[in-house]
Amino acid sequence: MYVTIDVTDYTQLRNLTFAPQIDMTTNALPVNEFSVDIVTTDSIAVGQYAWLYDDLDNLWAKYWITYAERENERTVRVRARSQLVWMDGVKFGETMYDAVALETVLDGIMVRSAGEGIEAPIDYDLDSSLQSITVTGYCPEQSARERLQWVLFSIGAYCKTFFNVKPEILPLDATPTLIPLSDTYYKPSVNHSDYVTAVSVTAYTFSQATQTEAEILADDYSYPFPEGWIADEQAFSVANSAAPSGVADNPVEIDGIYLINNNNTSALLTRLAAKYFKRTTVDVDVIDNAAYIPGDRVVVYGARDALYAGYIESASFKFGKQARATLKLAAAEDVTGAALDVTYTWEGMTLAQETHYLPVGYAYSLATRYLDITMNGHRYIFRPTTDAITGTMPSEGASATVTCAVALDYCEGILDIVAVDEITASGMDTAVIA
Amino acid sequence: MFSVDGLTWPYRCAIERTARLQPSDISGLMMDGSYFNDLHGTYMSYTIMIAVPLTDRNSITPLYEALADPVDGHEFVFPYNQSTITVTGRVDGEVGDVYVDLPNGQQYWKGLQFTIIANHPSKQYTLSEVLTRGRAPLPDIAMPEVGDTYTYTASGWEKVTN
Repeated sequence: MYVTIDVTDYTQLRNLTFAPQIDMTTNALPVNEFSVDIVTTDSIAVGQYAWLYDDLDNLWAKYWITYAERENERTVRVRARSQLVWMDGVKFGETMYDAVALETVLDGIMVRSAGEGIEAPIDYDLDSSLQSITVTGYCPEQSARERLQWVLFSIGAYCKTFFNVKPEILPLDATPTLIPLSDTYYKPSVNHSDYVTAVSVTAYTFSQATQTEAEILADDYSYPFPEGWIADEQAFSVANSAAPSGVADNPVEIDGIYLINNNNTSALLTRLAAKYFKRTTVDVDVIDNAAYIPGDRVVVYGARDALYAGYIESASFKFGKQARATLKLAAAEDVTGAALDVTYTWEGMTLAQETHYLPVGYAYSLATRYLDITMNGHRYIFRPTTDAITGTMPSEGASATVTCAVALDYCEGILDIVAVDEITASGMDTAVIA
Repeated sequence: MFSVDGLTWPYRCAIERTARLQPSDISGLMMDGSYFNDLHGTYMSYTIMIAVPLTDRNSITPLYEALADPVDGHEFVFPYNQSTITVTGRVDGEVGDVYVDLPNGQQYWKGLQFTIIANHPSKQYTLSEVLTRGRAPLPDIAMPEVGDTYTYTASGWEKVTN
């Protein structure tokens, strides 16, 4: 890993922490950050970008330095945060949106989020699937970050502020990716939170007040909405049918977000129920060179024969030559799996067997492997005649046979190259005889 | 037999070397039973034990002073296989020897011992190499044809040309 500030690449890093997160209900808008001790005698100023790269020059984060203090003669501690940090200091007046295009609303928020000494506007990407959405409702006076949070919450999108030069507004990933057993550290932790018995939201419909209504409301100083508008409030709720009787009442109630209306209430309730009714969370460590990031939906192994699907809400990275991440999966659910039995054969003889436990319906593609087997005084290298086993996992399980051919045959000091693209073994003379 | 910052120790000494394959914090046991070995690189370590010759007792002083300097590292040249290796290394913690005061009036220092650890790996792969290296069980050679003969040399399999 290395950090670029201005035009200088800093490669001597210590205590690097990077743990990006999102909230899958988008009810929160985390300002992600990384911190690092840089071994340098340079002076590093706040108020500029720090770029975090891996050894393959992939960008992990482009964040704004908010803290840079010399720890000692040799190191400077730097803390850099996503551009969302700018938004806390920008205040918006109250706004009534009436079917305003999402892009227009976001442009307004991002452009306004410019401050002294800050590059502006905040450039961002809006996912194409969200571009047709409109925003309706009322926002009181609030900071730009809270405004963005309200908008994203109402439409079910989240803001990704990592692995890109600019923030991205995205929907939650719907297609899960299986994280292989071989990339999963021993061993994951599966937890269950308390039952949430119901989720409820209050929806608001705004209409122009009549002259009489306006006069009455004008005298009500606690009335929270702009002059001339009347809000019709309606509560919607969904009960958790999976909660056993006798469980303590534990509802989640969303109230006072005036961008919730009939257009988005149903989808919002579905999202909230998906998060809160699925009580399982999974903490799992995986080899993660930025392949699995917050917002992704993944299937992980809780045990060798237990699978869980859920959304990554946070990924806390540790760095070696590669990267290891502790993923926190929210709203996880059991995934039905089945066994795929793979048998390697050669001239009718079984050479090896292995079993893979895979999600039902999963389109698998498993690379086959070479076998190194000694028998009857010969050391054989068998090579599979196919590179991969592919298919879609059926519920009743499946089996596959990999036919092998002899690639190398070593016996009494002579290595026969029988059929080879590649070769292993060392320290002896060879002759090709076939 | 070795040198420090250009200062060559001219007499015999005992040298032990160790190649330390430094794992990172993220190495660990995986769910499929395999061990994920994430290595920063190979760091050489040398332990030197010096017997000061009777005829040149004071020769140890400049070496001792150099090694006892609190600096980030020194440039060392050590034996390595059939040649030498130049490493920037640090003294591992301490440099120790023993003061001898004999009844015959002889006074000298003996038994200087210290360990040097290289500050940089002598072998290291890029992440790109790590991700591809060691995965394929068999290294590539050219596709052989019937009648070809290969011999194994220090640089790998080589086709014998007639």
